[in-house]
Amino acid sequence: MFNTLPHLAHLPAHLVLSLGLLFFFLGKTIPGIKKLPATAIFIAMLALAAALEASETGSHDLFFGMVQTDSFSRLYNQLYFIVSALVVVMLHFSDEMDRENDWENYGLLSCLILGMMFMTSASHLLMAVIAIEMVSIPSYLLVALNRKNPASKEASMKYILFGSFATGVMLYGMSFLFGMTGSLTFADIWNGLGSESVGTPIYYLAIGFTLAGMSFKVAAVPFHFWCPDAYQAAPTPITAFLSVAPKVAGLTLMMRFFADHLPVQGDSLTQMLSIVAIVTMVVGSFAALKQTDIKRLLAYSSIAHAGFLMMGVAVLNTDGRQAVFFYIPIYILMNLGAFMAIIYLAQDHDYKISAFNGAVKSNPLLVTAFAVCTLSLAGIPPFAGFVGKFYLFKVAMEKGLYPMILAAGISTVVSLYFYVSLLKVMIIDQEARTFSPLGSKVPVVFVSLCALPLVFLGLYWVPLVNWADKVRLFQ
Amino acid sequence: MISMIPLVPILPLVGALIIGLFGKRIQATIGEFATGVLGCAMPGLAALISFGSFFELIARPATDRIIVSHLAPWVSVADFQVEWAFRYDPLSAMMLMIITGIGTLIHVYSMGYMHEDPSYWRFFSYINLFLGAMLLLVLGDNLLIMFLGWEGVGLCSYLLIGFWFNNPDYAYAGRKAFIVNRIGDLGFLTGMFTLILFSAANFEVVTLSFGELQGRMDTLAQYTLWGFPVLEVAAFCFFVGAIGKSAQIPLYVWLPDAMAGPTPVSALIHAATMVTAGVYMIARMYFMYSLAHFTLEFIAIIAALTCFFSATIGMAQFDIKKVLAYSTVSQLGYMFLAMGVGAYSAGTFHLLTHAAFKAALFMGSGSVIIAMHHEQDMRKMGGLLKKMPITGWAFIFATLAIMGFPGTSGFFSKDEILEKAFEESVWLWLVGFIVAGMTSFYMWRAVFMTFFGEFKGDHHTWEHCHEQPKRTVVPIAILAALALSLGFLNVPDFMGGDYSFSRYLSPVVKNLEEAQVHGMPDSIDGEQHAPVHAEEHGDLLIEVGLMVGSVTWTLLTAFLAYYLYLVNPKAREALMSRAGPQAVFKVLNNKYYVDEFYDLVVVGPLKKCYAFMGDFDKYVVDGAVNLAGYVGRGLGILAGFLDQHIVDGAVNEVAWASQTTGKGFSLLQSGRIQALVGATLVFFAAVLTVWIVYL
Amino acid sequence: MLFNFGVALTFLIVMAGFVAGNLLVQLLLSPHNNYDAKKMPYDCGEEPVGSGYRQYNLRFYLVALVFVIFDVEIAFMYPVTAVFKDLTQDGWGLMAFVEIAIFVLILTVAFVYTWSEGGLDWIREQVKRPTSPRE
Repeated sequence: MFNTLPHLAHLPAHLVLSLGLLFFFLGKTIPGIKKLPATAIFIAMLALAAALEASETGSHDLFFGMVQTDSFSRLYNQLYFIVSALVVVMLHFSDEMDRENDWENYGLLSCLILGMMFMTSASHLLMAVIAIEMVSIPSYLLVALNRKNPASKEASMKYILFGSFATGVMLYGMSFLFGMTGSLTFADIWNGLGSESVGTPIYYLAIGFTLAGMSFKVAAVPFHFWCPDAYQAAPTPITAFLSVAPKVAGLTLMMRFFADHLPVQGDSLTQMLSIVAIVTMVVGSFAALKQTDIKRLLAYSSIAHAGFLMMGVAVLNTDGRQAVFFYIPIYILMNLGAFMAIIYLAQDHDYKISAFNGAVKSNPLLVTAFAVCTLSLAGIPPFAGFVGKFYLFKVAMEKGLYPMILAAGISTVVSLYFYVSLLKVMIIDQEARTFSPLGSKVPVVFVSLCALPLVFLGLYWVPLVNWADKVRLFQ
Repeated sequence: MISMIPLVPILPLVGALIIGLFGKRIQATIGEFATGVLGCAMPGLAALISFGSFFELIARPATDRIIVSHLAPWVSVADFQVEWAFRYDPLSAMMLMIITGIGTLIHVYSMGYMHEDPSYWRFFSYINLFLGAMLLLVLGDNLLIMFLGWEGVGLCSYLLIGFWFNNPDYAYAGRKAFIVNRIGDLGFLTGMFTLILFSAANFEVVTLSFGELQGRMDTLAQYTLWGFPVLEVAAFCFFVGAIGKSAQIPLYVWLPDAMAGPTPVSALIHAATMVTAGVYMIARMYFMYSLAHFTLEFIAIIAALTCFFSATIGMAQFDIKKVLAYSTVSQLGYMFLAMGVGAYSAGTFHLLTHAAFKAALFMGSGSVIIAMHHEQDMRKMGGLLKKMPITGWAFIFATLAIMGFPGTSGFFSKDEILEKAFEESVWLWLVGFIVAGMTSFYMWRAVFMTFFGEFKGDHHTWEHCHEQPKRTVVPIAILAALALSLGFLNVPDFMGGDYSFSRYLSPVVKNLEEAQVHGMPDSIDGEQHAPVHAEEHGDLLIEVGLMVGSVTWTLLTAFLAYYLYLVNPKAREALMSRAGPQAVFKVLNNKYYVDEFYDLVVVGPLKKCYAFMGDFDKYVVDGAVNLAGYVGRGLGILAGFLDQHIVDGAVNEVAWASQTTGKGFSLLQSGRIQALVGATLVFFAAVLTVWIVYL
Repeated sequence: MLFNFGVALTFLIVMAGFVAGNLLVQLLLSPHNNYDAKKMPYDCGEEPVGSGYRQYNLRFYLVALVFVIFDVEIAFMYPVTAVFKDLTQDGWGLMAFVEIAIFVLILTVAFVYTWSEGGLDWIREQVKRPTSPRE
């Protein structure tokens, strides 16, 4: 048994989170511990995990080919910790979740984060399945916990059923792959498929079905149908979290899954992924045009963004990985800023767009920061969203994927409409009712702090590119 | 200390920024005096660094006195690679000391001069900004930074001349300065472009740094541009820039009007620093000018003309500041005259001495003006020496310097110029000689009208007139002392000295005749060549003769002023009441009607041109358009119909299609999980089919 | 390889077909004699009282859920115990033990949570909380 300890030694952050998970679930039952501040312990745990993660170096193949930690996984893990910490802040300012349940919520979040970390490190199909489930099941629960929206349980139910369906399809596809190659490790699969199977129907079926589970987490078409309902009904901090973290984890899983492909397979894979990306972008952007609920609108917008990011995944080279990693922190800031602003402004949990009329009069700073985040989502220079999209377009252009770029261009243009219509509602329309926002100014500061780097990075983004450089190779 | 040189321009810029942004609040919080101290702090620090660096510099061996600090790349486009780099060598060290030293003194002086002015803090912000820009100009290692500083000082002179902008005349004066300067800047830019063009055609990288340009002069000398040698064209264009910046004919008209600004501004900008930028530029680019002989001749001629011209005007002005302004133009003429005959170190030396005595003169006049409650007309002054002894004596000492009294700094510098001019051409020397006399005359006229004789103003002013506080008067005294003593830096050898200043400057600025004798115009070999003088000591006689001649002549004209203004004013009045002299005086007093001439010949026609263009546009161009409109009206209706229903319709249909598609996509989201899963299956099957069939 | 999948598919079809075929034959050939008594649910010979379709208490579902989980846990433990002796001889014994212990521990934590939160109580106490507005 002691020869597994070295493996564990390379996963300190994971251990911390597992212990945290157990702690949060047990903690509620032990009378003395119940009185400790859960939030502080959670943040401390995240900080510890982040520190441990940052002190790791080198690339390791652990647990007999199941898990691979390298700079790619480390950087993404750090991003997950940051997102979780920010979401905890958002949780504090939203009363949609019962604060009595903090211990459980944090336990579920720990499980989620652990699952995401494994998704990013997975190098074996079974690990991928376990990780996906580890992410999905807590998120099913978290979606259901909105005590202010009675539809949340229904949305969660839909999410569960859809998720199980997707997982089933994925397992079926994985069985095909196992049948074809005799192995479940990513590298062996591509070697096993070799060049003979490229172009055969079974090749597309196997990869397509396997992709189903991953695209479910990413909310790519055609597995996006759970997204609008779940996002609308879930508590808004959870929506924010879902729109960022599991999506990113799914993308990293895709990137890692496809990374070891043989050159002869590369073209077909790229084309497969680009078709998915095109459809996702187009559906996400077009469907958002007629939305009247802001959370649904942001759900479709996140679907569209998943499509853009899949552009970066589709090119299947190190440039693409760098472009995706470059975009992620920007995307995190944009989305979290936008959601926090919504939390702050929404009254009586009415998330209809018409409820935000004229918000600028009573909250000029907040709406300005929200406008920065929204325009960045739309990809308008000089904000950072433009630079991120530019890099994604660039890597696609270098690969010569012109139809995808065309679709991306069209969806960006279309998406501009609904982003700006949000701003129009907030800035130009007359106030329909008074805004009596939460007493604290912290959300405003939060959104401003999200908006400020977007402005700065939009003008000088070289530091982020240099940070993103580390994910080019799995080292 | 030399490593801190990059800080020198930055400190005043930072000061300008801080005082500019927060000055109002600072002044409200800590009071006027403390704000003034704050304003003087940055230049003071810069001065400390400059002087400290200078002492370090001269401790180094003469071959090791060029220090270039490369800070960061600035423009990096293909083969045009300009850096942020500062060049510290004897020439820039001297300029730094002048600028920061006199600058700091003037800052201190301004604390007193601008006392109780409502925009006190704004003044210090601007003047710090000016200092920063000027320091960039002299410290820059390449033409682009020099240009940055060049433009910067132009801007600051506009801001400072029009400081009291509520008075429209002052505001117009500022505008005039800026516009005339810009005309000159066009020349600078053209020169720079010429150099870039030919430099880029022959070499791989163009950095515009002076070291690089110096090395490339030989290659560039071979080319011609539209029949003219390239170096001549470039040198000429740069000189056009200098004409604008340093107020030579024909672009000098802004300088006298610039006296609308506060006196410290006149002292700093229009005596000591900005106007000397042109002289500095030629000294810096000496290697180019040494190969452009026609331009040098041209410079000398223009300089001589300017010198003469403005001295004559200065003799007939009643405003004390105007006298000093025309005197500045005239002295600048001397400096360019020196440059034009290739005696670069002589010109630079005169720059140094002129900075000292002219600043002292301006500040002295400022002190008088304040004491006289902003009265500037000399006809209302007189006998002020009793009331303001320190100012008066400082003014007198500075006048001794400007006139070239033996032993003062002006004596040594002006005499060197005249001597070099004589070697080149007797006519040039003659003009310089005559002007020396005129200079002496009008300066002593000013002194006598202001400080001696009877007071001609009203009694009330006389009662309240008193010496200014120490912070005003001490800088004047310091500068007057410098004006007397700086001459000993460059004592000619026949008088026992060894031209230490020229030798100091020689690693970086080689005079023309030296270069010709030694045959190496553009290498920095750093050898200590004692500047070669008019062959052997056989011409010692000529040198001494010239010197004695100038001194005698200036003393004569000084005595003439004394006679006409103090001893026997009635003789002057009698002279002036005759028609001839009166007419001459009127012309001189009105500055030869040059401004009116420009208005008539340049500005007037330009305005008519603008009006013409406007009318042309309104009637001819618009008329044609209207005609086309009338003719095409029928087609227009048709086009409108097409546009509205078909083109717009298409656009609307696209929008409608997008929205319907969108709605369709979102309607797909029926909410019933069975339907959703079914939809998923359908879509998924579709995707798979596409994959299998098309890929 | 495709051929093998084809074999599997054929097998499935034949399977389904066989079952369907049997039912079809039964439908066609068997006598149809439906009367009420035949359709009643079996209650060990007693006569049923009341309708069979009523809402059963959710508690049964909860208990069944927890039971299923632990039943599956036992199902996982079973193979481990079966090969435990061989594992010990190969030197993996301690590791296997620790692994299965961790597995059980994790589920025990869940069990503790459920127990303490009152998931296993037959009668849950009603926590008075403000009802959310129903729109």
